[in-house]
Amino acid sequence: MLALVVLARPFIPTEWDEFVWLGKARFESLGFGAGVTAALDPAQNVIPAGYPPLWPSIVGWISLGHDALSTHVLAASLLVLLCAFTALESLSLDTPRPWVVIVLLSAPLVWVHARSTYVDLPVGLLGLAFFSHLRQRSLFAAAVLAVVLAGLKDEGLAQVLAATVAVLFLEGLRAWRFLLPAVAALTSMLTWRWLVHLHGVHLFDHALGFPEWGWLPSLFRLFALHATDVFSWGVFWAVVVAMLVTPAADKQVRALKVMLVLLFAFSAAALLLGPERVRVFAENGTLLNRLLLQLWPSAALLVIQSLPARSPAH
Amino acid sequence: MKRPAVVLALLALAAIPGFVHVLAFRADAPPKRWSSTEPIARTLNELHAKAPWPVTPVKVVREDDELFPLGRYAFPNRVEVIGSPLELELRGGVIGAQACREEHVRIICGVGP
Repeated sequence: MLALVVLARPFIPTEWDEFVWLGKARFESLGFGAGVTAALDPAQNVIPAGYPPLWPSIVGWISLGHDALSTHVLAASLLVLLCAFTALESLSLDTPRPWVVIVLLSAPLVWVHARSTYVDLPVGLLGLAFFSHLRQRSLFAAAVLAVVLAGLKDEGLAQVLAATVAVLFLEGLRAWRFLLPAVAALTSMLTWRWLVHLHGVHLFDHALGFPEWGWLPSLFRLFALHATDVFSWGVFWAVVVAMLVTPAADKQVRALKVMLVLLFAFSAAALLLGPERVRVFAENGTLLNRLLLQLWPSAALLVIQSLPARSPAH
Repeated sequence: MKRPAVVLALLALAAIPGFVHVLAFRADAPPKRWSSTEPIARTLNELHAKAPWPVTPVKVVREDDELFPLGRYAFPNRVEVIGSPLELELRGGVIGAQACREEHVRIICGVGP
């Protein structure tokens, strides 16, 4: 059913950034790794400059070098599905299935993005999968996911760090092995940033500066405005806030709360520390909804796991 | 078991307006999506026919917001071209409302001043 929902659509994008991301996938039709070469060449003027190239590269690889928009859209849609199945496969739920379905369907905007080729929902889904594997002590799988997340978007590293801190919060600092996937992700991200710097590519959107504290009230106002948009989110985020402030004995629920609060904090930090253009885009564009999409998978699991389980001995 | 039932009922009911909007009224709603994507595909096909990437050197001299995404897909890199490259203007307006046309060494897509 999920595959049908995602794939039953014309393979032509309709959202702005989809074209920009898929345009980068075209480089792979010129040769393996041509997208990375172009991203590290300032003379190519590829935008957004300095972004990690893994998502468009994988789209190009799955397209087998075929340079056609419909092929790229199909490839990206299959990637979205892969990320969804990776997240679902990592979970072990006691909650009755109809309840899970209701929670998953409670945020209409998620299903719009499931049928787009934006990277935000995949980042959130893989972030949830990373959290699950880390909780289950599958460190190799977690490390692979961590490196992939860092390669998809800078926000992927935020997912890794938030999940790692959340798990350490429960396991204690003696469980230092849980840090290894995050170290791998950080190494991957720093390597890319070093390459970007070495090749003279100027970071625009993700260049960090001094925090714009004066914008903090606008930040909260905008998040509240977008999160309470019933046509996009229903009452999903209101329920999440209620779950966050409700005491919970379940360890997984407590870890998810820590992860969500940290993810929000990372998002806020990125907006406050980023260049002015990012704040302008937050005020006038879809940025905040896309940041909420990255938080949605973990938030959905929080809601699901906060509901009573099938078995009283959970 | 009242609490989960109340929460789930709230979530389900509150999602209905959004799904009606998503399924019927959004510009990319399923009934409209096929017709809304046709002009996009037509414009991109025209650009590919007139200036295939990366074969034809192109200099984008104008790129209005409405056609910016298509321009970035059609020409994902913007290398400085020495000599007399084909010039491209992507003028704002409704995508696909008018076919791309050639004026000397310039391709003009879209409408607008």
